[in-house]
Amino acid sequence: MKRADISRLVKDNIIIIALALPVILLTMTASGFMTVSNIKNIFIQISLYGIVAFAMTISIIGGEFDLSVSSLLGVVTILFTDIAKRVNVPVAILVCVSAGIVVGLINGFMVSKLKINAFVATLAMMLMLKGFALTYTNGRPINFPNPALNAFGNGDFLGMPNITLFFLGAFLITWYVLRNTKFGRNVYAAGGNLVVAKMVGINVDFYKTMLFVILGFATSVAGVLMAMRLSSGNTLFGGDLTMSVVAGVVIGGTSLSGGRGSAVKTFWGMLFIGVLFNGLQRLAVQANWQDVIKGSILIVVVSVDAILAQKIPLSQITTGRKRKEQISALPRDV
Amino acid sequence: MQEHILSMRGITKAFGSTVALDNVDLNVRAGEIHALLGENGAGKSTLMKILNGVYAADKGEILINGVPTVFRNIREAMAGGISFVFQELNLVLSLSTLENAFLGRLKSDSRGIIDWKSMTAEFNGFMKSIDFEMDPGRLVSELSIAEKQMVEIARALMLDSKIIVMDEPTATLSSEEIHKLFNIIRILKNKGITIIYISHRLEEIFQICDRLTVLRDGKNICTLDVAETTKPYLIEQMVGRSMDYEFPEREAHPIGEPVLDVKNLFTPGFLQGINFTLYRGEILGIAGLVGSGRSEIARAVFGADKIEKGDFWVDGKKVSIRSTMNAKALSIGLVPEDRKDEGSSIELSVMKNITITNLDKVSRGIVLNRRKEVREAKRMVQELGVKTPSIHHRLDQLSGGNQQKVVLAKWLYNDADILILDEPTRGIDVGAKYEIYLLIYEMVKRGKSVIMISSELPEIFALSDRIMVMYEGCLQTCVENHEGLKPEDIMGFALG
Amino acid sequence: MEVAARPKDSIKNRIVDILSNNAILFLMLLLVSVVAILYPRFLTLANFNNILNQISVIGCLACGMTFVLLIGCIDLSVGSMMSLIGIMAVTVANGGREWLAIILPILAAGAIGLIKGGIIAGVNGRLGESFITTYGAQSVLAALALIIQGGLFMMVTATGIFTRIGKGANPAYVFFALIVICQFILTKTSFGRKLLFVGSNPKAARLSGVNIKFYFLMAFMMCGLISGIAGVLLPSRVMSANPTAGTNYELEAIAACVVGGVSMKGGSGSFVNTLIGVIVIGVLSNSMNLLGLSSYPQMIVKGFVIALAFALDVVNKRRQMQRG
Repeated sequence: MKRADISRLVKDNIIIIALALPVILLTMTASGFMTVSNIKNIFIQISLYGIVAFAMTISIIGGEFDLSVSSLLGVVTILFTDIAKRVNVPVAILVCVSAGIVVGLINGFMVSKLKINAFVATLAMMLMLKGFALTYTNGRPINFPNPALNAFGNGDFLGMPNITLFFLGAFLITWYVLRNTKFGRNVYAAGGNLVVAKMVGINVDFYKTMLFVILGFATSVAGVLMAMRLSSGNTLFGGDLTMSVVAGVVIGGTSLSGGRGSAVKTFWGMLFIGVLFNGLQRLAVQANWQDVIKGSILIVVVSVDAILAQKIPLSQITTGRKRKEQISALPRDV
Repeated sequence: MQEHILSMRGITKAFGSTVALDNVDLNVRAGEIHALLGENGAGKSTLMKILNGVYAADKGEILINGVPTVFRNIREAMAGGISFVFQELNLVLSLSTLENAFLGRLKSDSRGIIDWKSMTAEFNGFMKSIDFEMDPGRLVSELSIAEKQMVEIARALMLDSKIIVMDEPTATLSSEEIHKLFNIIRILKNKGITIIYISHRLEEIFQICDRLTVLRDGKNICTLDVAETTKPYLIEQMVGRSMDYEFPEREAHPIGEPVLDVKNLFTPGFLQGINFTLYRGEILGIAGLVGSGRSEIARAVFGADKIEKGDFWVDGKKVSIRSTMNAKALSIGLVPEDRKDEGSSIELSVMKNITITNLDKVSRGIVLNRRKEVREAKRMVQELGVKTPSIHHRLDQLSGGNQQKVVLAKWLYNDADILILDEPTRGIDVGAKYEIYLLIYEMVKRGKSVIMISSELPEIFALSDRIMVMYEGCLQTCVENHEGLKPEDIMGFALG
Repeated sequence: MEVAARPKDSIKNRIVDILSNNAILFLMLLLVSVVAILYPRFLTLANFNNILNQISVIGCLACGMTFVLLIGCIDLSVGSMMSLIGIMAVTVANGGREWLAIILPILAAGAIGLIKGGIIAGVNGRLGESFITTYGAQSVLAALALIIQGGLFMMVTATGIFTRIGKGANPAYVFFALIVICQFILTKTSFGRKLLFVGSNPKAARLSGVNIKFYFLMAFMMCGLISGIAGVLLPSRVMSANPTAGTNYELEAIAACVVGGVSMKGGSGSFVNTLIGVIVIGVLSNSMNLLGLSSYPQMIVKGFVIALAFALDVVNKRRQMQRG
């Protein structure tokens, strides 16, 4: 193995090394950290957000970003609880999933067809969804204690929590789609170099729209599961979703500049977030301080990502002035 | 008369007031290797971009096998049997070699699951057929530039096109790789594929091409059989503009003491120990191929790029130039290569673009003195002959030549003593070029010193007092007196 | 003349231009006329005062936001910063030092802005980076406000100057003064000119010898200082502070700027645009109030208006491009 290969291996798996640190520290300091029940607990904590994190991974690899998922999650929990209460569960699921997909389609339309910057488009969507949720509930939670649903949301299957199975399912599907399907590979191409992807005939608008649709779908699944688990729908649910998810994705090593990343990285990244917050809880850190830490992590991670993106050797840069330097590094016209 | 597989007739294209192509014909016979020759800006790339639909021609028609055809984009051109190997590397760096070779046409089953095996097999088979070794799994970002170029070539060749356009495919290849590429080209030719080959390396033209067409200033100069011509004749055809009317008459200007001394300048991975001196009232030309390090010198001296080491003396005093602010304070000005992206803010007014270099001059304290600012801007506009309806018009409403004058104006307004002009006449028409030359003379007459970088050798020849020639990040030579020399001699240095 | 010839616009083209460039204003006019017909109360002096009161605090925030938008960035954390500043101000004011309660929080807000600007300048960030980092900052500041205050309302018990600055028309005066001062800074000082230039093309600014990092820092600091002013005005007006007082205020401020015509791309727009936008949003809120819409559905409308403003902006740019 060459030295360069080793250094790349280390760089690619830095998250696992980073994960080892809190794990070791917590095993030593917090009693009961390294127990089966606590590990299960960590997985339960990250499962629902993790489902969204995998969809966010696809979207960030494709070069887009969605702020509206945090409001969408709340909307879905509300819709599910209310419709399950008034009509029945299958209809509730159908409505929620459709809502997620429709929101995704609208976001995708705004970004790919109207060419509105994804941040702004999804910011507006976030506001509209929040307004919708508050209008719908008048700001109050909707409760629907249904034993069957609750049992499903909190239940186990072969010793694995049901929601963790969904999480693992989302992980495997994302991993496979990103790795071995035409769709996944073209998402990498579109995020890696939009101009070239367009040039070779990849339908970029379709892919961009699909990124948001997948996010909407994943968020609706997570929302339905959350509503089952908590027997309740609430505007406040998912308030920190975007933040946790983006932090997890970027910590894992998927760059915000697009075209690079993987489901495996996000798996480790979310696990890191899970361990960290489990640790903070075990060390009895107050919830508000946890928010402070969460926000700070996001800031640090994004800053480091931005700096690293600028440090990539010239030969790897594809846009702007640096792209030109790369090209003009070739002798050309006399 | 053999049949023409591709025939472009009377192609005319203008960008604003600049005519890039003027009634150009290109007739390519089936199965031949046809060279397209011409200087930078002669219109070769524009012609090819019209062929593949990036630009639409103002006039003229394209016939393929005698059938009028218009491609609206590259995809349509590819579907129509024409593929392109571009100068720019059109690759997704975060993907593997294999995926880049199959980009946009990945093989998959009906469910969209990728058939890696058959793609790898096809790729390896193709690579074997051209006797080239390449690991399909490596990330393109880890490849050398030559290998990247091979990926790009492979992508075009694997498409089974009838016509392949190669825009300087050898620019980055080693001689061994070039040899291999030529073998591939010969194999393709034997298969009956037509190739349009764009290059400056004339020896290559003689090695593999059958016929050639020379463009100059957007016009057809000649179409010849390669066997019937010679290298010196071709150079004359490409470069051979008469310089009598194009450049203003040289006027003697006194050259004084050294104003800028650059010693041992290194930049990370680029410039390799550059030393030079610029004297008062001098025009120092820097020639060399694009990418030889010309612009890098300009940017390093102006503090825009990080340097590894190097010392600067301005007016005999050792100075440190770490930022563009330092350089400005030392009375250095840079007119960058890319006027719209780096030279100016085209969304702002002429006045705002001029006075940005020295707002203190038109302020009382921190408050701008509008009357004074308007007066100063008007003075500069008048002095440089910028043609604009008013100083309050946005820069993007001006022609290229006038935009460039505004970029010059901002440094003259700040009274810069040392002006570094990087491709000052790129993309502007002949009349405006002439005015810029006059301005450069005017500046040195007033005791300013000019470093002029240009891809156009005649320009460097006509204006410079001395000429530095760059090659691969090194200073190849400095020609103190170029009277009696010809541009071709400089081209010799620039090619190493 | 070498100046590119401008095609003569047909009358139809020109009308479409005027309509699409000012679509938001026309929609607003329509809304105002409808509301004015339905509710004669709308066009009264009392209601006019009411609108002014409603827009002043948001207006200040929008002023600060304009600086950041002009440089091509965004700040999502000004709302939670306002909450934090409000708590700080009331704590100090209730302790009896009322002047300090006005000045200290504003300076603190400026310092926080400086930190944010430092991060953005440090990573050479623009819109994307500022979006995410300030989103993180939003969470940090909101949580800090909760930590300091423990989630409770806090009544103002001070009786001096601190209680007067937010009363009556004072916030409106502050807002208008800010608009005038900021517009002066932007258009009449070298600082404003360079800020605009950096926002319009940071690369060209750098190659003109402008210290671009400094202007990123300053834009965020100005935004911080002015949000600090808003943060002090709010508790003084409502006589209480709470850790979630400023929630979603940043969205209103952004909406106002964008609706008024400040570009998200940087380098284009002025505080006059901001003033127009703030009034438009204010009238919109007021009309919706009169129509009996609660604040919740109003959020939907505002989200829609933001999206609409951007879509129109993009469409107009495309039309301009097509015609050269």
